[in-house]
Amino acid sequence: MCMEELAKELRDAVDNICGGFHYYKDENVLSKSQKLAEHIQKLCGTLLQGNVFGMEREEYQELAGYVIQVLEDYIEALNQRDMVWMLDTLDYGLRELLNIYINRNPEETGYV
Amino acid sequence: MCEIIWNKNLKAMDKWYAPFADKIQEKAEMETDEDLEVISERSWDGETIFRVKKGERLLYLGGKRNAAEPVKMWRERLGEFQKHASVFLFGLGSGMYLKELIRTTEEQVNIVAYEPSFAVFSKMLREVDLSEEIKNRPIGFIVEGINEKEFNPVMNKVLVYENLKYFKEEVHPNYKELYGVQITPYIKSLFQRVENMIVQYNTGRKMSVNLAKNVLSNMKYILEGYNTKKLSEVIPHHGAAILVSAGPSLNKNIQELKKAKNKAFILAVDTAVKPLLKEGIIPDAFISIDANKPLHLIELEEAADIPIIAPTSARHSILAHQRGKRIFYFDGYMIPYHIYFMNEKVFWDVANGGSVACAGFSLLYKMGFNTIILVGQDLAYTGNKSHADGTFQEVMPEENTEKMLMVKGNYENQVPTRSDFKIYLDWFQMYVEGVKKHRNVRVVNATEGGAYIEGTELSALKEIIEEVCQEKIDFTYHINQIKSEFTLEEHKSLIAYLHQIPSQFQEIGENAKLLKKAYGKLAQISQSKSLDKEACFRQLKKIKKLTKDSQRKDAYQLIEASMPVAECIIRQEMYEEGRSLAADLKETARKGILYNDLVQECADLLKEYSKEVLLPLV
Repeated sequence: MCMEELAKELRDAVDNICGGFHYYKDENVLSKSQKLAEHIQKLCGTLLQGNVFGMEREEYQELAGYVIQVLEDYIEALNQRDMVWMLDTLDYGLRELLNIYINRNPEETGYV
Repeated sequence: MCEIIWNKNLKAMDKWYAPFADKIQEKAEMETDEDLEVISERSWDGETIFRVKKGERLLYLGGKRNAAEPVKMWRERLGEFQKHASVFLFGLGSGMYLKELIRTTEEQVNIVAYEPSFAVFSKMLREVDLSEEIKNRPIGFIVEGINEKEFNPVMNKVLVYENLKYFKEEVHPNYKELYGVQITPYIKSLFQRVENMIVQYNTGRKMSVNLAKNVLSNMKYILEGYNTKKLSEVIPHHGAAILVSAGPSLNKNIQELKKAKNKAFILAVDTAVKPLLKEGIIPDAFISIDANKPLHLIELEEAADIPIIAPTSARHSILAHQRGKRIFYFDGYMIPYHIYFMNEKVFWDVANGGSVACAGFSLLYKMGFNTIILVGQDLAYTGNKSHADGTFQEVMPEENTEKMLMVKGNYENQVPTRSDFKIYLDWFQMYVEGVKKHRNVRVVNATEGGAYIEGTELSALKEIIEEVCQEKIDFTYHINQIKSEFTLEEHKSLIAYLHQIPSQFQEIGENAKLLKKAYGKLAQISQSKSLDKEACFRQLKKIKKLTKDSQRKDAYQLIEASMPVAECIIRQEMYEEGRSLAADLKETARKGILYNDLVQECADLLKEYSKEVLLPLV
């Protein structure tokens, strides 16, 4: 699976988890999020492997720091079984990383 | 800074609930007994958020990166609120959800905010300025350790049948994780209230046709002066009582009841009378509460001499069928209540859990029995049947229970039940918990099947009878000793009161005519080009006075009881909004005319009926 496909799959899953919670009161956040572990690891691993986008050194270090923060938050939210932390990490942390790979069409934005 | 915010918040609260603000101040000065730490942080989008450290866990109560947007989405999900809607918010966190709710709803929307942790609540009052939001808006704050006992009274006040369809209940994210145990009983009691209101409404609708007629016709028996308090004075209650219900398991052990005759007080529900008599068992009394109960359930010669216990609105034809004593209890109707009240006597009630068995159980408890045995109390479809054979039909049909609700069984893991049975089951569990707590009553469930009632002890009927039914007691003799509550002199004054009931209906009917006129005038005013508010006010005042005049009469309640559906629709619509003042008035006038049309019609009918049944009383 190429990175763009993986990112789209992850985005759909994040939309489903966060949208499900915010709009349909579906609180099954943590078990659904746990299933994303492999994909998230792969995405973050790729971003941390090296400066594949040819960014400025400082800019890349900032990105790497951001990726590590998202990864740490994801793991800790799971460890703590903290739904609020997980939703925030997926919706406002991981989503930023996914957007690097996804060329979004306007109609693709939003949950509903 | 914290001190400034704290003082501002308390000052704003003080305006609405001074004692509450004082209690917060007092509690804040005491050492905390909560085993947790509340940490305040700033989210990346600049909001104050809390994290709670409880044992090994450290949980966020607001988004670390973005705290504001989830609150906005939450609010979007809740949608528009009608005026007078009630919202129950469980958990306050750093107050963001509460602030958003206050900010985006009109002041008539009732907000009840429950916080299970004083530590979180006081942190919020120190760090988040809520003063602007709460200084002009009374919020029903309930805080554990401060005023948690006020939850039920507040709930009963703000959540009524008329605003039920606009009711919302929300739990702050992560509060189920942190405070699930504390929150659950409050949510349960909220849903219990909702269920009770629905049951009450449905019962009212079902009963409305015959209810008023039953109360009026039963007055001649109520005058005899036998009531449940008098009954409890003559019945020895040191032994056991058996409540025989008509669940499908009754057929399995009914014959065992013979051994309990004249040893335990046997109270049957009306539907169980036929199967009992068929087995040669005559209960000491039976209870009947339903205003529309089919007469054929007890229409047997042998049943006629059994004493009947009933509320004043029970089906008249069943009471008329009985030659045995007719023993009443108070069920909320003013005319029977008045005949006790005018002689400075108390007309005692029993709790109403919705079913005849609930009333029977409450009665036995109130009579003082400390061992109550339940038989045929299935509250479920044992063997896929709703009732015992020999009740509504000789052989009750088996029903498809595949899609039914499942509950824990007495002898099976799960048994099917339907929603009304489940409501009675919940009531029994609540009541059993209460009777055990208050008087350590032993409740033995000897039903050979059915749903498990929390708090009951399971036993085979044979065994429990052998254990507790030792002494011989002639209950029939004791029941015959009941004396009337009223003396001859008092009786005369009661008759005089009842003889003026038809004229009460007459006056209500005349008032309804005047009210229709007044509403017509209001409609005219609302249609004029420039709305004359002064004239409107005068008209509304007149309407209020006429309505109050009618409502003050005891007979008015029977008119209301006869038309609950009409009344409810009109009252619910009063809470709806979205119209201009003129349109509102026009609509009010239209409904007022319709409603009083019904009142007039009902008053005329009941006037004639009350003449027929009350004037011959001597």
